[in-house]
Amino acid sequence: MRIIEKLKSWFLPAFLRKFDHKLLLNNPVLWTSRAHLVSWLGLLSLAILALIFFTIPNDPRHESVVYLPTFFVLIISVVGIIIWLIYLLRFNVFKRFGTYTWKSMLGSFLLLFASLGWFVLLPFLPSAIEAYRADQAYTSEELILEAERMNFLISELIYDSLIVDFTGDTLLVSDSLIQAENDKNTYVIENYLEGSLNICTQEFLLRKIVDYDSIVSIGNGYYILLTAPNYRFLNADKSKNYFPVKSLSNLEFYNSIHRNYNSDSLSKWRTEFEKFKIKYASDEDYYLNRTYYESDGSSYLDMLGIRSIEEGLGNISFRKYFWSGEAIEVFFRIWFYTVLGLSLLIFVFRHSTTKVFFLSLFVSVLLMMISGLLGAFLSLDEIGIYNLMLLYILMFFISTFSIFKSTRKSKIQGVALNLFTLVIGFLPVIIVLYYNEIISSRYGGSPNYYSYYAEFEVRIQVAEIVGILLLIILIPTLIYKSYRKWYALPDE
Amino acid sequence: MINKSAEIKSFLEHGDDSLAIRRLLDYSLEINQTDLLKMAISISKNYHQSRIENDSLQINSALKAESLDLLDALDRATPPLSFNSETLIKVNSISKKYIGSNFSLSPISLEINTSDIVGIVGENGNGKTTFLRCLSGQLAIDSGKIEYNRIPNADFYSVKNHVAFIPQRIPKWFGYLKDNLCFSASLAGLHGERNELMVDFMLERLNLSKYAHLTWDKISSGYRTRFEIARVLLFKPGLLILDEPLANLDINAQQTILTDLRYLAKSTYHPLGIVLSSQQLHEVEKVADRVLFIKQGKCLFTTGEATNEKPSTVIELETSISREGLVDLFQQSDIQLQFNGVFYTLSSESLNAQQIIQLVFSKNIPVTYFRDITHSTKRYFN
Repeated sequence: MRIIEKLKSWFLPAFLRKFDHKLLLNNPVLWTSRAHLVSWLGLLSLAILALIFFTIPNDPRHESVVYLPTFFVLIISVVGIIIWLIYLLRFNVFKRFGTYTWKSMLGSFLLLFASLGWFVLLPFLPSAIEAYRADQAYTSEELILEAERMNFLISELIYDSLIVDFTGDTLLVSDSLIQAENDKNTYVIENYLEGSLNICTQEFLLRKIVDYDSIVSIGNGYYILLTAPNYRFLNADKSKNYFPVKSLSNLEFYNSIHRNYNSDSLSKWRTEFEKFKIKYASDEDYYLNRTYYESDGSSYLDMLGIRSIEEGLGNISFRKYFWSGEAIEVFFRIWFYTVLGLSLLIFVFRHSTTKVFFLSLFVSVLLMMISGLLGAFLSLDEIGIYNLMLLYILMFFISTFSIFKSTRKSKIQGVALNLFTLVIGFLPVIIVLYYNEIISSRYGGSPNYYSYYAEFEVRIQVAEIVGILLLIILIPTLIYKSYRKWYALPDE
Repeated sequence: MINKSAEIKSFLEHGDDSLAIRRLLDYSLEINQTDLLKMAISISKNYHQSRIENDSLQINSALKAESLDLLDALDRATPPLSFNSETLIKVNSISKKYIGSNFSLSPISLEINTSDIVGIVGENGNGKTTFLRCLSGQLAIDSGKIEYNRIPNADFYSVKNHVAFIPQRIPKWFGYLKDNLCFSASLAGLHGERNELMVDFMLERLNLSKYAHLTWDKISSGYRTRFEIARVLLFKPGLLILDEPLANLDINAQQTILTDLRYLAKSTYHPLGIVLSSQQLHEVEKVADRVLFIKQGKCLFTTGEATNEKPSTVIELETSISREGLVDLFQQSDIQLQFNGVFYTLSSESLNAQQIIQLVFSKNIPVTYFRDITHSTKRYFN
């Protein structure tokens, strides 16, 4: 007991305990949520864990083992949620029939969300710190320029073994043939046709010519498109998305290698290369022995023993850009929907009876099984499944509305209200998916569908935002009135 | 107010210190001035502290002087307005039948006003709890109507805020006792310093201060009942319904709680109606304005209401004389005898209680226990 008290005094300073007591006396909704304590402990945990993860040696060139600390922090978070729940469930403003307004209910939900937000955020910390450390150790510019320089050095060092011949594609340019093909099949536009010979239109050739290093006409509409050998053994292409730099074309690089070759500089280049090797090579050889390296024909890398540089560069890029671009959106969705799901479950639990809450979970599993069985027996497609989902939501809504006419507490209405609260925020997303399926079934594969599908991601994002807004609007209105009415109704 | 002050002074003078302190707290609350209330709380705390330290029930002279000073200050303060009794709840022929059970509650009507104490008595399983749960809006009624006059057309959430129900088995609470009280006060709209003051008052008034920092597991069931009363009183309900509140209490605590309930109901600070069920017939009858006797779901008798039955005198008597001896002694009178294994029940159509007791003494019957239950619901228990 004394140890617990001592721990409390360490982690909860006097000012916070005073604040906690003040909230107890003045704001029971905020006090019961313990959001202030969770926020403080969340910040404290973030700081302590950040300190630990910044202190632990972490070489960006090595393969990331971030899942280990992530799992460790995940366990801490789960334990934290359990302890928080123990304290949270001790006091319930709503079930005490005190002063509980629509603001209290909305506040309760938002505070649950905020508290859980901290817990779910913690497991993302190790990978974020790893990304930060890699970002600090290597800049995008550095990676691009030095990878290019290394390619130059490798090429010069193995100059005698370099392939010098261009590779070529033969092409027949014939507008009339393409037109004939178009007449047969409207979806064949001007791409290469299947077969031994590539055929294209004049216009396509002009457009595509920039992708090649050279072109030779051999008469009768036949062309050979030539590509210079690729001397870029290492690449930092990912970095180019974050640091705009104009690099040499394939042909320009090819030319620079051959123009600058000087056997007298070899020793200087070797020294320079060795420095890069120290900077970028991963000393882990686990991947170096993997069989795909043996068969991919990159024997130059073997000659210099620099596969570890490729590995190192790959690891650096993986860590450095782990939290960039689309990944942030993905991580945000994982965080957001985990927090939202847990918040809704706890919110429903706190406004329902224990029996009806678990009954609601049971009914939701039952409905999923029924839907699966109906889908199997009636051979329902996606549209059929979405129809079922919309039907369920409509049923939940009607049952929820019927509460206002009730004179006694009904478990069925309670279950419907719980499930309505749990799913209503996802209704717009379901509608968009449903609409997408209808469009897909009607116009799938046609140009119209492609133009629609281009906007699909945006529509989903809008639906997600509308869903959240809908939930935030319904909590202090319909959901508040329904729970208030249903929970207080006399039992049968 | 002078009467109240005089009453407390009398308690102090005759050594009824515990009662005097409780009444001093009540009086301070009625005057409702923060500084005076704080003084009363402080006196009460010191009194309880000195009881622990000195192991004595008597108040020390310094504290007594302080109490008298406070009484003077209270007398000088603006007296509170007296309250007008108003109807809290009108129950019109409510009935209830459980699905799949033979038991049913037959129509019962009742009207409860502020400051009323209504006792519900009856044997186990005869519908007392069902009736109380119907009154508090916990249980749906099948017919009849309940009108909560202070909150017309209110939803059940408001009803449950207005009517406090303390069940026999008090649901477990978590955390510290004082935190729970502060939380309840906060829910009832008491914030900041007022919250702390009222919680301190309740802790003292119900003698819970020394348990303030204990949890549910560490306090006895009697104190859990007191805690529950303190908690609901902070809510200032219009009607307080208690199901068997005396069940977990010792005999002294029963007396204290009943006396407190009587004072609370008639408090000018917040007068309220109280309905309680109990098996302690005599104790309940002492404090209740009316007592309803429920048997097999029917309200057979309400004290104070005229009945069609011919009134007869009923006496409980415990004696060492054998039944045969008693029959011989009473053969000249119309006294009927019944024996329940512990004592005899004597009933007579012609004699009143005084005449029966005179008869008993005139025949030199040794009496160890005697009670007139003519006007008590106890006479209906078989």
